[in-house]
Amino acid sequence: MDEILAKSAQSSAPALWVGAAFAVSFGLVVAGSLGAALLKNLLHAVLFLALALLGVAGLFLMLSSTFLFVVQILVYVGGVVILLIFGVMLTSKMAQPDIPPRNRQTLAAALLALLLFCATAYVLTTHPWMVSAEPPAVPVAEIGVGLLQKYVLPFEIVSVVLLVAMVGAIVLARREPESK
Amino acid sequence: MVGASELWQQMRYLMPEGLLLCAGLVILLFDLVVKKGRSLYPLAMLATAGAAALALLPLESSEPLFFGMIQSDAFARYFKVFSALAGFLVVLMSMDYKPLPARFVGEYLGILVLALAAIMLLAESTNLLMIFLSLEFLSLSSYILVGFLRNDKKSKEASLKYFLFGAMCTAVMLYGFALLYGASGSLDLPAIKAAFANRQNTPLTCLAMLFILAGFGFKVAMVPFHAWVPDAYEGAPTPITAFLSVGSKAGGFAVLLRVFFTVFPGLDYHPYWLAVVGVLAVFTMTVGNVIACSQDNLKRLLGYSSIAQAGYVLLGFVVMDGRFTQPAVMIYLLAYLFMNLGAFVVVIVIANTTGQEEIDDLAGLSERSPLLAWSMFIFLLSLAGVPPLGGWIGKYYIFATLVKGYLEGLSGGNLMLWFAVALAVNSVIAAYYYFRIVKAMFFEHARERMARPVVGGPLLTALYVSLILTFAVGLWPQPFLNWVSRMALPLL
Repeated sequence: MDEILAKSAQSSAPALWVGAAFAVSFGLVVAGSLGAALLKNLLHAVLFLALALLGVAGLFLMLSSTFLFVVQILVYVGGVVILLIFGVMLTSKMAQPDIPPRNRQTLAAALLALLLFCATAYVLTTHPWMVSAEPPAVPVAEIGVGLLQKYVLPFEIVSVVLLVAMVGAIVLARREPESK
Repeated sequence: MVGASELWQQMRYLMPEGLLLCAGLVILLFDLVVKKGRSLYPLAMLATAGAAALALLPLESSEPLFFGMIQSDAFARYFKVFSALAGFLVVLMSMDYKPLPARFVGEYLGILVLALAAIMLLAESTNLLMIFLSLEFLSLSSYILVGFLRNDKKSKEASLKYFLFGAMCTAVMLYGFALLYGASGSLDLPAIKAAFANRQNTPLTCLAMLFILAGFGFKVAMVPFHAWVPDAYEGAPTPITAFLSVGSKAGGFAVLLRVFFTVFPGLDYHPYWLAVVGVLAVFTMTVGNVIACSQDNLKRLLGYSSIAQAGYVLLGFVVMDGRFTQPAVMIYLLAYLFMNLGAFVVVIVIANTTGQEEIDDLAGLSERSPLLAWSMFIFLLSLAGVPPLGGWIGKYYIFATLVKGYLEGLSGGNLMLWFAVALAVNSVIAAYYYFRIVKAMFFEHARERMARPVVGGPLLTALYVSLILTFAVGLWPQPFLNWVSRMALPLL
């Protein structure tokens, strides 16, 4: 928050506006995640997930990662969420809102999560972060060069991982010919 | 800027995993053309054997390769040999595993071979992005392989549970990576170490490492990230259970060793951190051993036993001293590879004969098939750590490492003595359930309808290889020890 405000001072946008934008993004993420985890109706949960992902996109924008902002919206909000909605709607059992999202261990899990949150929050707020003087703007061209230079090996491996995921999805999800 | 020709030069260090990647893709392609999936087995065997041979070539470089993404040093080469060898045995075991649906053999072998390449990449990654990617590669292929028994509800359930646990642990680990990146400003392990070397450490790095441990701990089945093990082990096709217990566990330990030894010497949190790992290790072996005592299903029992074994290996990490820790962990894993795969070979034969995998199905095995009974006896003795077998050498080195750490007055020495005691106590508990199996095999009579188990050529080969090497590591450990110490990571 402080860093963002400091940056905004340099980019001469009013701090109040930046604060408000941050609050909106933050609220979207938290509300969206809570809805995705707690709602009974799976379709509603997916829609809330889309809200959370939008909020994340907003955070990317405020960190001046414009490329990530666009990709986040295109891929996650536009692609993944749509696929999820298709998945929920095409799976007849899943669309019925009678799958309880909670079980006996909810309370223990919530307490543990709260504990973890407090510890993480404490550590994150007390850490002396290095604040870079200017926002690390990465031009898209540089990302393209990076994919064929520094990141060429991970880039190639990703393609195999995706292939494995695709083949695996078909093997696991395909209907057996016997059961037709 | 590194030119294309230089990258081409660097490719020669990636020959074993390159061969496996190509073989995996070729198998997937051939599967479209060849109608009989079984004809793909020789191809997979050739690929794994070839990868093992390539990995044995002394091609290593202490220079960072591919812009610091990987480092194909002796340490990585050790795990490449390990993974290819494990893969070869698992392919042999799969050949005669009856429940595997014949129409999916191509996909099964293809993904298995690619998963072996993932282990190799994991062992040589020196960049957080690359570590994450190869870990996910290995995890994704494992989730799929676990669910290959399409008509078995348990297999589907196992796959889903494994996936959900894995996704959770990966997310936590990724958060840890992000924190580490935020604290150090780099994804490369050497740069992270350099960033920590000249700065006072903060709670942030500790938190980050704890989160990262969740991801690695999931792979090696460390308590409290072990909950997936029993179900995944029971539901998976048995050769895949064997693969998970050996191959993917070794991958987890490889990356754990590398991260510990590359990043940690710069951390001041050493003693506390080692206490954390030590206590987790003691929990891991105790939980594994105690629950294993009440298991009746062989695969579940071996699953809990493998949790316990992971605990023993983790104890090696407590003495964060390069002279001791690495050889101890590496020799333990080597012995564990052969004894555990051997035990699973016997389980496969039993399952092929009776269609089940309960301890009762082993009743009177010494009358029905003395060879199997005695081999299983040897493997169990070795798992229990009885001399002069491979498992004993491994356990001895872990134990000796702890005692040495105590005697040399390393930080937290007294704690190490307690850990050594815990190891001894746990070995006794473990002996109880291993001998339950022995009792069933030798002192109980077979039910009347039980058929004599038939062992086919591939399973017999896997059995003999495991048997011979279990003996070899135990009776003639010096060459293996020399090899392992030569392959250890350079001390920093």
